[in-house]
Amino acid sequence: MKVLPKGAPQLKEEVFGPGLCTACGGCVGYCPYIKAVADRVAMIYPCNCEEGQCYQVCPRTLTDLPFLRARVFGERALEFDKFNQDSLEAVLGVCRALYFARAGTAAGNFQGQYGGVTTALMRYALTTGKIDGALLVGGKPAQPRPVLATTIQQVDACTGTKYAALPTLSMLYQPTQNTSCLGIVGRPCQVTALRKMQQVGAGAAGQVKLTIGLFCFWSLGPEFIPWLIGKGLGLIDKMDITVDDVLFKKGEEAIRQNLAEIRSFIKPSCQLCYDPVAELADLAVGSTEYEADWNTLLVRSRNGEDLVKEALQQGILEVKPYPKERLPLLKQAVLAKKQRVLQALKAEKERENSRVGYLNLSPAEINFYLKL
Amino acid sequence: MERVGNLVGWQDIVREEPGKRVLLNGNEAMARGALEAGVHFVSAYPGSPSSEVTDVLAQVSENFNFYVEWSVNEIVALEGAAGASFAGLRALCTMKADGLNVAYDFLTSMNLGGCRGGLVLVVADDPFGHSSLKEYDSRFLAAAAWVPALEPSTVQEARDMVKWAFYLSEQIKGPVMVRSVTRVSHSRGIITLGDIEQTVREADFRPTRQFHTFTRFHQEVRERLKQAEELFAVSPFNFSFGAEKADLTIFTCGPGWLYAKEALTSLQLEDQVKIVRPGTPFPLPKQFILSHLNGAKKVVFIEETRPFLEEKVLAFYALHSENLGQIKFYGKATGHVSGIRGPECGEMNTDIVREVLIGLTGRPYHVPIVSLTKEEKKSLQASLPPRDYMLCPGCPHRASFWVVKSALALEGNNGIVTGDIGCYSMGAMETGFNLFNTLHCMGAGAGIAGGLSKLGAYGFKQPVVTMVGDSTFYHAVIPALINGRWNKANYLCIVLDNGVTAMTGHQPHPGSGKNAVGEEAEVVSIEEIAKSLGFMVKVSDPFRYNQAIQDVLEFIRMPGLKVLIFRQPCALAASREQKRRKVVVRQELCRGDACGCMRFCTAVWGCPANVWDKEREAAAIDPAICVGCGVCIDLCPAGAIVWEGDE
Repeated sequence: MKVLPKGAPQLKEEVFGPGLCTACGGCVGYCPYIKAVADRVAMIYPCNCEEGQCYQVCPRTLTDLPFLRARVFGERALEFDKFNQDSLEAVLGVCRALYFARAGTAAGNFQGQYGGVTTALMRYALTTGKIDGALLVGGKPAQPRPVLATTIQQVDACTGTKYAALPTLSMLYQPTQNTSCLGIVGRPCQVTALRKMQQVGAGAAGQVKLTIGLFCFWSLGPEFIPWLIGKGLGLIDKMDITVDDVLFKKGEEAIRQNLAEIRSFIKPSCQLCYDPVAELADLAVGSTEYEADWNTLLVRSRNGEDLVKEALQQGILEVKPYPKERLPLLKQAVLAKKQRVLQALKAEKERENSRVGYLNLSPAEINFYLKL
Repeated sequence: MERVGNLVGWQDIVREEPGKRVLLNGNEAMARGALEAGVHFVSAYPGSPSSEVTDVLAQVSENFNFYVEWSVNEIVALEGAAGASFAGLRALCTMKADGLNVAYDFLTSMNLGGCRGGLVLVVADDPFGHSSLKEYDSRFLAAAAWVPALEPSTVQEARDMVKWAFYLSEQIKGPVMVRSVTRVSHSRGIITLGDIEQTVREADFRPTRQFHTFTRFHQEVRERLKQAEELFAVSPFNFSFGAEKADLTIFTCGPGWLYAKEALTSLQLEDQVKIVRPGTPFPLPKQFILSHLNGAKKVVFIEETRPFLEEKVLAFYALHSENLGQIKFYGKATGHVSGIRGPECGEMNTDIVREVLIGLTGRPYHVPIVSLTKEEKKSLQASLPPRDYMLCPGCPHRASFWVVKSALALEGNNGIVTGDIGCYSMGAMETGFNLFNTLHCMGAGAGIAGGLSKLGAYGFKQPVVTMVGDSTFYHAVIPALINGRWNKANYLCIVLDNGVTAMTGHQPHPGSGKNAVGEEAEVVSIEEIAKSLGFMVKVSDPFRYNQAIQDVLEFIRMPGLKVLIFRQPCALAASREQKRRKVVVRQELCRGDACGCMRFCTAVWGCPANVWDKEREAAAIDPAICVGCGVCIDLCPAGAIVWEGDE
């Protein structure tokens, strides 16, 4: 993995200073200089470490995507010089299968987001001993907190999407004496950071055997929760961002808020995110924006494929083909995002041929997107 | 008699008989002076270098049956003392220089109407600011207030002057100030004990008696000063030493007298130089001064802090130069008398005096340090390892600062911290993580915070936090809080409650549950005061790092003015009272200079009990000074610091 000989001072200068921290948590908890409380992450005291782990694992510092893809997917890794314009994987990343999915009849009783695929799979992985702990986000939308769930009950207490960005990866630096095999549900930036952490041997990243990445075009910064509380929505149970607006649910009560207002809380780091569909995850899960009770499920790794197959056999999951008419929309959304980010990053000074901003990409990949 | 403080030798004040020679420091000597004068009422707010005067009197008050109190601040202390004086009793009020500003409004008012029983104000200045944030010369304030001032040079004189000041005060029917400085208050010297006046007085305030402040009383004060000057003219506190007639004359006040004498001796100039030592700088006895200017050709001024004596003498000379002939003056105002901080700044010492005398007389003097050039001295000083101020081992303020530092970094938006006066003033220094943006005087932090929080219309959006001590809270913060409540200020006031007035020697305060003489006292609760003012209030433990950060974040985000109390006893007091658990380091786990630590405990956290084991290249705990607060256990990223037994 390409890394730069940089450390905390540069992390402060290049990431924290310009507000580009994704709050993934990859740098939080290993040292006393970087601290997180709820969805806030900050360097609280200057550290002079010149070559620091914090810099190496950050998803907004040099990220060697071709290397990481090769490490996760082996021979299935993307080769952009072989892609044509219509290639699905060029846009969505390694894709062994793409479905509409939802929790099956044998999945158990819980309240997931949309089809509940993430919760169903994590529950199943935990029950069957594939993992003995799951890093999740618990609490209500206005009081989210990182959770290391080791029981089904704990997993169930974490259902539903929280749109604030929680630094869950920080949990990997806390001694996990009772776990040896972890699952994680995270935003794409967290999946990237996790893969980097696994390369440098940071914390318990090596214990993570199952990674479910969530589709994420943006998440909300630390001003969002105070805003939510200010609106009297501190006790809501569930939140959903729809095409038109934002829906908050408190028991049976539904409250709608203007999406534009909430968009003002989008983290600046999300504007530079090249990976809205968690390319480096074993499985990527999102909404369908089509059928409310289903999720989009993207099977990426062999490991993910095995889990899905088993879950289907056991009735934990139920799938149906991804509707053909929806595919161009999904592709276009991801493509547009990647192109936008590459353009924005390209505006920054290029230091090497293969580098665009923080991304290390093959020239073929850069050409693929910028020439489309 | 319960010992509250650690006052070496103070018992000699009462243990020994009159006529005995005992070793005391200047403050103890002044306490003895008040005892010998038969003081009835003592009130003070502690502040270095003045605190021990009242500390000592509090210890012995029971034996002598007089009243002593630590007051909530200096103006209240002086007002209380004045009350006793109005009732015909002898009253002493002590404070540090900064406290005189607090008491000054009342002093300048009360001085007009005058008082009855001897009222003596001991003000201790701190040249060089050894334990103060600023240097001060209270003589200028005495002069501006038209209050006569005495200035002792020695420990013996400190006793003598305080004792005599009561007599003077009763003669002129007005307050009298005794100006001490650190090198008098905190030096030890031998004094001969005098008799203790055993006059029994009844408090007597007749309804017909009035003590008022009106402009017309200025004339009376003027007359009072004249009367004081007449008494000063014949006072043995003003004397000369050395050559009877000399071209070169030193005028000196305070400890300058000792520096001048030592310099003369070391240069063998006693026969050629005259020293004039007025002990009554205000009003300066004119005839005494003029008589010694007469015949002098060169005059050197040696005094502490500012050129007070110098300016007065120069003014006399200006009026009488025709008779006095040509005299050349060398002092701070002229720039000739100057230490390492230059003229009018810093503290006097023998070397400074000697340097001036060598310059004027050409007298050879061969002591290596003196014969070094200024550049050589500077380079020598630069070669000394820097020693910064340091909070004590286990000090809860360190934890509080780290909590606030962390919380403000997490909150973002460039939070501002206004500091205040106490041990925790070190929040402005490295040991306090350079947290404070402002640091001025007691109570200023809350006032400034209130002002900043009203600047929204001018684009100021930063969070504002003020950190005040518990004693400071009672002393000066409450009015600022009321102002903030009234004017809808928006800031977080964090009260660092360690249970005592720690910096000045653990004197009790209204929250301590004890008074000056160690009796049980009503606790005036900080949280109850804050609640009664309508603020959101919470008590938090700065040793519980994560919870305390969350408390700060929660409170910062609430609108309006909020009060968060960080409560942990002063580490020094706590370590005396209870045995705490032992902390050890599992050195095999210490990350040291590696990423993920960078010697955090020794390089950043900075508790003196966290030390570096050079041999093993790992952190260690100095068991002799660790008080077992356990905060570094929580902060160590490697889990290497643990409680003994948990290894």
